[in-house]
Amino acid sequence: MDDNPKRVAGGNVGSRRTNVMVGVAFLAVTAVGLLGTSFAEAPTPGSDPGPKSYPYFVLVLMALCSVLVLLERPRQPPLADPEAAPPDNRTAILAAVALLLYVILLEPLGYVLSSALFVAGALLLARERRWYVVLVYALVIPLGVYLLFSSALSIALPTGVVEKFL
Amino acid sequence: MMSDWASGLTAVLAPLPLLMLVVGVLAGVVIGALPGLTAVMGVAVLLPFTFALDPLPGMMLMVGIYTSAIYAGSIPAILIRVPGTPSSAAALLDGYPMTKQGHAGRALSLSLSSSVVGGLIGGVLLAIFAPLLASVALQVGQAEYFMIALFALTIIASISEGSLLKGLLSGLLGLLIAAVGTDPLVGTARMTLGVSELRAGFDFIPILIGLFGVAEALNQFRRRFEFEGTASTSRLGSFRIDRATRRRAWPGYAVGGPLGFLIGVLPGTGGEVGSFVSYNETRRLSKDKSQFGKGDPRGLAAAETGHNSAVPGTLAPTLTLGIPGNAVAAVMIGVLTVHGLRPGPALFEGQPELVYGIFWGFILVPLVVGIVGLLGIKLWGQLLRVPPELLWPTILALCTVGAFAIRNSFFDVLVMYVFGIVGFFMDRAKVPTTPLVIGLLVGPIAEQGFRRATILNQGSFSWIFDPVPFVLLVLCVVSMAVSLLRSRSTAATDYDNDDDVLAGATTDSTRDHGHEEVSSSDEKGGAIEPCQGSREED
Repeated sequence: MDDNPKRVAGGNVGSRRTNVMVGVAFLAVTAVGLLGTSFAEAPTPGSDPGPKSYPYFVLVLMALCSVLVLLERPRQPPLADPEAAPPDNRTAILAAVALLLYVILLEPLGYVLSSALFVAGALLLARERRWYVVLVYALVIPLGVYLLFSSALSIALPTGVVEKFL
Repeated sequence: MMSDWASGLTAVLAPLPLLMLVVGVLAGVVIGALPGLTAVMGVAVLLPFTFALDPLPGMMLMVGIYTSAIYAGSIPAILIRVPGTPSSAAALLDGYPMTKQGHAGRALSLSLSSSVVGGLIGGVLLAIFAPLLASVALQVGQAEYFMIALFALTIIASISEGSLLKGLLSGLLGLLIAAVGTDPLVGTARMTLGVSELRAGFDFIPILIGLFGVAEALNQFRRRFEFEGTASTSRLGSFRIDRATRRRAWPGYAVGGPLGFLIGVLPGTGGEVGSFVSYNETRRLSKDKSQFGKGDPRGLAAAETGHNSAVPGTLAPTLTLGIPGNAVAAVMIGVLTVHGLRPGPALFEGQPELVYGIFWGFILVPLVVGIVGLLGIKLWGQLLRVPPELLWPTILALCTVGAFAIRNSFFDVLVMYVFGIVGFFMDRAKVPTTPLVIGLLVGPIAEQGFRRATILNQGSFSWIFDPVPFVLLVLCVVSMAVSLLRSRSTAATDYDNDDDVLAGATTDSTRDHGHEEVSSSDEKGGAIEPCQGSREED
């Protein structure tokens, strides 16, 4: 968002934009919280302020801070390092998508298989072009982690379609 | 009391806890020495290894990782001017100039000895003061608990990265997430939005792993795993600390040890603030300030002693009140909660062997760090050759195990992923994540304090004007006001006052960690402190 901020006296447009995005995002969270809390119905025994009281207290403060962030005059962000490589948003997005697929495939494929696919994909995203490194890593890391946790530490991990082989 | 100490020592000297301490130290050295891997991320990702262990060996693993990662973070700071963990930035102020002068070996030895001294001082002070604090904590009422939780959150929001308001928003989000699920007093479901898995609420461990493991991994992909060194690690010089260096370093030990611990006890601080304040005070108290920033052993010793002494300090509020001092302490609570234990004064009475075992662990771990450090000091530079692009997919595979294994729940893995994305965007928007984590953990304490104090006052909120809650309320307001005034005054001067040394620290720290910054705030005295932009994690 603010990768190459330019120094402008009295503020920075990019930084103000970030503040607006933060303020709006937290106002949205506040709205969802209010909606979720409003459904909570329970008789409040005696002098208990009830199950809604505390969330409402937090939500009011959150709404107030969100509005103040929207109005806040932003500080100038630190200068970006001119020698640093430009950020690679595309790879970050692809990594997030790969991770989402990993989470989705974890149950049907099991830990070993889904992790193998994910590790291979992540290594390719990290520009590892030596196929034998990708192959060895994608096999050794998931299998090693699985055996360590399931056999040595007795922590069950999903087996999925390869259940009979593990 | 003495029997508690004896049983704690006996417990910690058993083979498994001792082995876990050593394993933790070795793992921590790797985590600390590799730029991009932080102590908090290390303990979060390696947390699942403790699930199969009893609480004490699990805590020893975490204590070992935390302490040695803090020590090892200074190795790349000294050798290549890139802090291994963000909190090691102070070590490069005098450590890297020593490397440039051909004394890298001596700087590494001094860093090791200072870490051992600082860790020992901090460990002993924790063992002395935590039981006293716990006995006071037993007298704390519900209203006080609520206000202490709010005060901790306010302090953390005030001194963490970005603006105060963003810190507060992050903390409030943590409080809100903690309130999702069944109400603790009357059992009504709240904010579940029809999702049945949310009736039991969020487990905080997948959220921690997402915020500190997954988010950082995505950041690494975005930054192409890059960091650049500026010095060769092949010519290290002598590792011997000569008598003159020892003599020059002792003021750093003397100031950094107690001061670092005191700073560490304050909520939200930890090693980073401890090291900078110790450095600053040692410099201020010295007659000859001319060599600071040019390879002065006093500076390196002060930064490292303060840094490592603050580590046990951060556990003091965690163990005595159940309120984590920083993000690492928050993750370490997970080791206990997995076994159904909750830190706080009751733990001292119910599990004295565990609590006193942890104290002994903090006293023993600097010695283990010293031994491991002496054996491996010539090899640590080689750790910098580990290709990070091979490391991060492995870390993500471990994150998945950590999130799933808590409750054998695929929903928790999804929670980890969602909070990884949330953490990534919070990082980009300069909204600190540590207040969220602290809010998440103090949320149940705060809500029960709020509700029960009101019930005890027959439905009235007048308890807020009782002496202790009112003083804490005033302190909350004062801390926020001070933070706002400081941010206004530094906003005007932040980017014009950096001296050369600090500019170097800023450049490299930013290059590696994306957004850390270190600023000097006092042109006349050269006072140095981490400003609001400094990253809050260890």
